Amino acid sequence: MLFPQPTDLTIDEPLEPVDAACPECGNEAVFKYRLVDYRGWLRVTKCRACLNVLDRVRIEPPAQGGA
Amino acid sequence: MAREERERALTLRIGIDTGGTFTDLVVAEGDRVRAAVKSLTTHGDLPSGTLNALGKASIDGEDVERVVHGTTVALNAILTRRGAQVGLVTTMGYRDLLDMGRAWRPWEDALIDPRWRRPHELRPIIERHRRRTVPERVRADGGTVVALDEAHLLAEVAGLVGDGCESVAICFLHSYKHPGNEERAAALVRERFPQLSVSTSADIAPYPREYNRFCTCVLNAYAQPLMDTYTSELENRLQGSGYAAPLMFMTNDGGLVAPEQATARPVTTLNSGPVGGVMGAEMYSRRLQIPNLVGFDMGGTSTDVAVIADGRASIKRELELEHDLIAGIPVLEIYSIGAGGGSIASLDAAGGLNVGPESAGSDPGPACYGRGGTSATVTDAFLLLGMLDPEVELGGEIPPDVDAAERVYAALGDQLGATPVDLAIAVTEVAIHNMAEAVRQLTVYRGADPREFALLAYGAAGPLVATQVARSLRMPRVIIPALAGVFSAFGLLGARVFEEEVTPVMAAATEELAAELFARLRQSGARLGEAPGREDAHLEFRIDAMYAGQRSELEALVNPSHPQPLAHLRAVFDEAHRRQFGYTLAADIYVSTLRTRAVESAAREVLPPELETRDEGKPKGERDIVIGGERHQDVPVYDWAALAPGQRLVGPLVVEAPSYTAVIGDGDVAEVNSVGDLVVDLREA
Amino acid sequence: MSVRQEKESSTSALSAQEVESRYGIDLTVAEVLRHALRYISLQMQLKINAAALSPLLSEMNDFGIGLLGPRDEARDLDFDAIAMSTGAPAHFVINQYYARMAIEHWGAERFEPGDVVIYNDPYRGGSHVNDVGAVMPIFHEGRLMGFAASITHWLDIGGPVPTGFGPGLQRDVYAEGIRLSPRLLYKRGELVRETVELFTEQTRIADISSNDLQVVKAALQVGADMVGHYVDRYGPDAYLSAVEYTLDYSERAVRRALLEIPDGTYHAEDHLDNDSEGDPMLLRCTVRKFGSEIEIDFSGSAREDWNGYACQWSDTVSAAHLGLQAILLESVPPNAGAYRPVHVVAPAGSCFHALPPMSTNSGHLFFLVKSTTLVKMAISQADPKLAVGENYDDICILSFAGIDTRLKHPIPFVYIRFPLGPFGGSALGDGCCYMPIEEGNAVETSIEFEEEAQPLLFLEREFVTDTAGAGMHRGGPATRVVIAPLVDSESTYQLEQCRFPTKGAFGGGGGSMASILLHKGSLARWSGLEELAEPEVVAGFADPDDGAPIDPDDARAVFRISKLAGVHFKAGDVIALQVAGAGGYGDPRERDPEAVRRDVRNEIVSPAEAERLYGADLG
Ligand SMILES: [Zn+2]
Repeated sequence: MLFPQPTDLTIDEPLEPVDAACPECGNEAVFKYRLVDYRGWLRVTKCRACLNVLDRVRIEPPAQGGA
Repeated sequence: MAREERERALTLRIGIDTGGTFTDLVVAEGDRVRAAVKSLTTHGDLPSGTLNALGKASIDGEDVERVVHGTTVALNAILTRRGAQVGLVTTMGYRDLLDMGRAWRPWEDALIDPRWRRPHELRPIIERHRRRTVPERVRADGGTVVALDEAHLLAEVAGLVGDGCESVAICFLHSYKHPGNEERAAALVRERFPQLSVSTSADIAPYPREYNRFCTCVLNAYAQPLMDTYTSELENRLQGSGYAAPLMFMTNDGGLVAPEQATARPVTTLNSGPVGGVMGAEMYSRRLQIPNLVGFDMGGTSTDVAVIADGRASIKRELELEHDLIAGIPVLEIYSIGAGGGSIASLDAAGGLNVGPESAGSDPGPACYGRGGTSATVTDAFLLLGMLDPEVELGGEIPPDVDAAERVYAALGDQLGATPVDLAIAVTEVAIHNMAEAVRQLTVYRGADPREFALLAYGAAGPLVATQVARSLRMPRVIIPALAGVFSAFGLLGARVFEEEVTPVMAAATEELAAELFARLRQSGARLGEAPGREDAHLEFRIDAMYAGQRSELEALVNPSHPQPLAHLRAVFDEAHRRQFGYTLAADIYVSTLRTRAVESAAREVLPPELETRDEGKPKGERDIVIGGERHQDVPVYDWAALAPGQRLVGPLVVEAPSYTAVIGDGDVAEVNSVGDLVVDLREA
Repeated sequence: MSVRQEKESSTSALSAQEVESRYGIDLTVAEVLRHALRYISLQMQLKINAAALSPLLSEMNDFGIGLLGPRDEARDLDFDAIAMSTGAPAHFVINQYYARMAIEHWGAERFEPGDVVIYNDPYRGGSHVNDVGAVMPIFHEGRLMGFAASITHWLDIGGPVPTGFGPGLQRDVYAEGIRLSPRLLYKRGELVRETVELFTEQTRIADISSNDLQVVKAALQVGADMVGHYVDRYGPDAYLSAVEYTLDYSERAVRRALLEIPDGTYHAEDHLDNDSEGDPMLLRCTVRKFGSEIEIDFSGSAREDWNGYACQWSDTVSAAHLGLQAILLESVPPNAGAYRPVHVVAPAGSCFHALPPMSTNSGHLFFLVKSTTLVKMAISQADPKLAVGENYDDICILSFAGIDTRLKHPIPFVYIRFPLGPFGGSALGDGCCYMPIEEGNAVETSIEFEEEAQPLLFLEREFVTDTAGAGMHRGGPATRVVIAPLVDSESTYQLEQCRFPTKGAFGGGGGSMASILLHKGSLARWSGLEELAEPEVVAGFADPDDGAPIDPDDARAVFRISKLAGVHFKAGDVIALQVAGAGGYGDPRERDPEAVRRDVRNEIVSPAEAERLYGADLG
């Protein structure tokens, strides 16, 4: 799979707001987004205030480099 | 005195190893040791300690043929930064090599540390304002890029002298091969400033690699004035006390030099004490006909390991004193790790147990010294495990304070919920595996199998752990020499005088070049062999080389009369490479230097005194002891002095000698040979 | 136990009883094996140092090698990195992705004893095509106990640019060189000829490759054998328990260190000198730290750009870990346990997460260093005792290739130099004056050897006065390197901080900017001790009329790109490369007056600057 160069000059990780408060700290800064942990890629639902992970789904890295 | 007796008496030779705590002295008469003594080192007035030791051995100066000395004077001057006021004169553009070092950080503790600083930045030998550059530059082929500016040179040196410098190092690029500018500069400086001590890099370390050579030369210039004072004072004091025999100094590469040479080149003596131990190991390798031997010397702050393969000690191209503070000259290889009796056991924040490299030193020393030490050390662990006798003075001097050892281990153990003894077991096991790893460094990882080596254990603590270290490496045999407690001084007696001529080459060997190099070696041999007093000398010819593309030299002995120079060169170099690294390559052989050595040929084999035949020694007592993590009750303890030649002992057991204690593991079989060495065959692991 | 409590328990040291009950081995076995794993990886490294022909492996330590565990769900092991050598720290973390993805791709169940699988596709969790990965399975009585794994920088990997670094010349990944999906290098101990031929026929270093591929195998074998030794001695279950213990130990160490950092969100911003068009690239990093958790987010950074201005996500993650490890006061043995507390956000399509077919070969170096720097900068704000001024901030490159006509039979030569530089001041003291960036740990090669081997003269390598960032603890001074090719040469250079000075910390000042200047045909003048020809700016700010150096604030100043391949120099040209000076720490006015006097005496600081920056009264 090949990709064009992005047209935006800077790139943000898209954050999907989640309509829930963090069960640990009560903060509402809870988002769904992608990140890398020590085993690879995850889609997490995570509190940006206390870094509590409400949910995690491992995602296989996308097939790249012509595979 | 009868004439006959006088002739016999003239064969006394003395080895003196001045260490940090003790001055060890061994006297040999012919090929037999006659006396061995330990005496406290007298810091601030080292010759007095030497004379004390001589007095203790009751030697008549007139009977002495030669005194061989291992000294740490130059080493200590550098480590404590108490050397001379020294300046550097170097090639334009290269003022800062000393602060740059070889760029890399130490692997162990600073690998990704952005706050790390190089030892020379923190504690400079030569600060930048005393490092001066002069217009001067030659190419690798000797062609001039910039001619030496003599007026500029003298002005810079005058500035250094005006600033209080008493010693100067002259270090130019490519000088090992093209020494002309250095020589000219030195001549000019000596003429103008006759009181100044002058060291030049190509003279002190005639080898390629500018940083290594310059650093070596600078260290030499730094230690030189102090060494001068020491050698002349020692010589005077010895002569004044009736010891007129020639005094010789042990060098890093196992040779002997006269005081004038040691004075001019103190960097060649930096490791002279420990090298004595390696020479001793070589003697044992020959005498017991064990060609593959690991020398294992556990002391207070470190454990030193050396390898004898096929009867020869391995050689290294540099001696590192601190990170990148190096003497870049051939040395007998000694691998040192910071695990000795004084090494401190500690727990890190995450609960990890670490042993060393921090050491309690000798003051206050381990807790059991009873001098207020509050750190849990390896020696304290040995005491708690019964490996050391709670009733016997440590090092013959210090009554052990078992309660203090128990207290520090209880305090540390509380953090872990472990008993003092359980913690002592863990500390000892970690320390023993660290030491085993040091042995692996020089064997397994070079493709040599430690199972084909015997472990020769010496130093005060080597014999305590030797069988346990050997077991973890599956080494079948341990030798504990009769003189294990003064082994370096003993080994000094095995050294021989040699003189060496070094010729730089730096080219890949072809048929043509190999023939030319061999011719040059033969000429050099003829020159050295014809020098006065060399009638009995034998010649050794070495090449320092590498496979084309490699960047580190290895030495190989060659026969320059061989009819097929290139084939011979390849064969001996392949063999040397295989021995050091475990493999060979098909690449060209790139020769860096030729070295011709004339070696005094008189045999220098020395044996401990023959034991008297007597009844087999009985245990003098017994105690509980933990060996390899296992608890043994009522383990017999033998007095070494009571053992009979040929006596066979089955472990677990302990042998106590005046200057060391040996622990023999469960099922190991120790045999006492005719001179009192313990030859231990390990039970199959 | 709540999640939070569980996290807290993983920060406390364990008692001897806890070790026994949790892992089923006593403390002695756990600790002996923990130390042993570190030793084994070090020995694997020494095997490569001793035997490799490539100077990048023998001297420059541009590789990583170590051990992976097996897959064992009950022990929470998934081929994780359990010990890594001390070669280049840049290669510490990468095996956690590179090797594991290769094992997954090949199929863990397909490995047989004696196999070695090799790969170099950076888009599979790697760094750049020059970094060749290899794994060897470790079996004990038929049971897979883990892998020995390595990543080694290959001096040349084919493609249009010698050495592979082609900023501006390699538009995309297809222009970089050979790119291998995982395949066998050894099959049951036998060398697979056609795999070796990929290297001997498609790279410029056939001899080095055929030797060094076998060296890689020998070093992996050292690891496999030594693991076998310990498994024999203590048993497979005790070994695996110790592996689990070792990972948890490193995790505890990192979490404890994280607890010491004040909770909060910290931002850092920096720029890369230029993209492929010559415009600066904005780089951003946000560090969120709470308790013993940390999230490092590179959102807001510039988009990827063609011609080498991007790096792999796996590189960015490695760098984030390195930045954290570097800023912590205590070092932690690098293994997967140490990586557990860290989350990294690397937005796809940014310069920190290239998408195919972007080229990442050059960007590997500068973005790796920049992302490490950003993490250090962000955390530096959290606590003065952690802060460090910015270092010279690049793995710089200056290479020369051409024909060595000094010889009777002229031969081609390829030479690459990585100029080194200074580090920033910290609470502990001044910055180091000269060392490799944290990502590498090269041993400086000998000029005498280089001048034997290449038609180049190295005329100078010296500190430059008034380049160190001021501070209570100043940064290290810049180093200037002057090189003259003796034959016409083609060069590549990569250098950073030619457009922006390095930054100080906690009131410390920035250091001087970097540059490359060309003194055309000036070797003869050098020899005659004359003034060199007027310099022409190669990289940095130039007067558009004559190319002379110019004050960056001058409205006429143009910036010349600081990363370019395919540049030509003539025999006898004199090229002066000066790296950046490092940033200082703390208010310069609080510097110990004796330290200021020492700097003046040593010509690190001029008397005038001492007065201006430090208020020193030298009278
Ligand atoms: Zn929360």
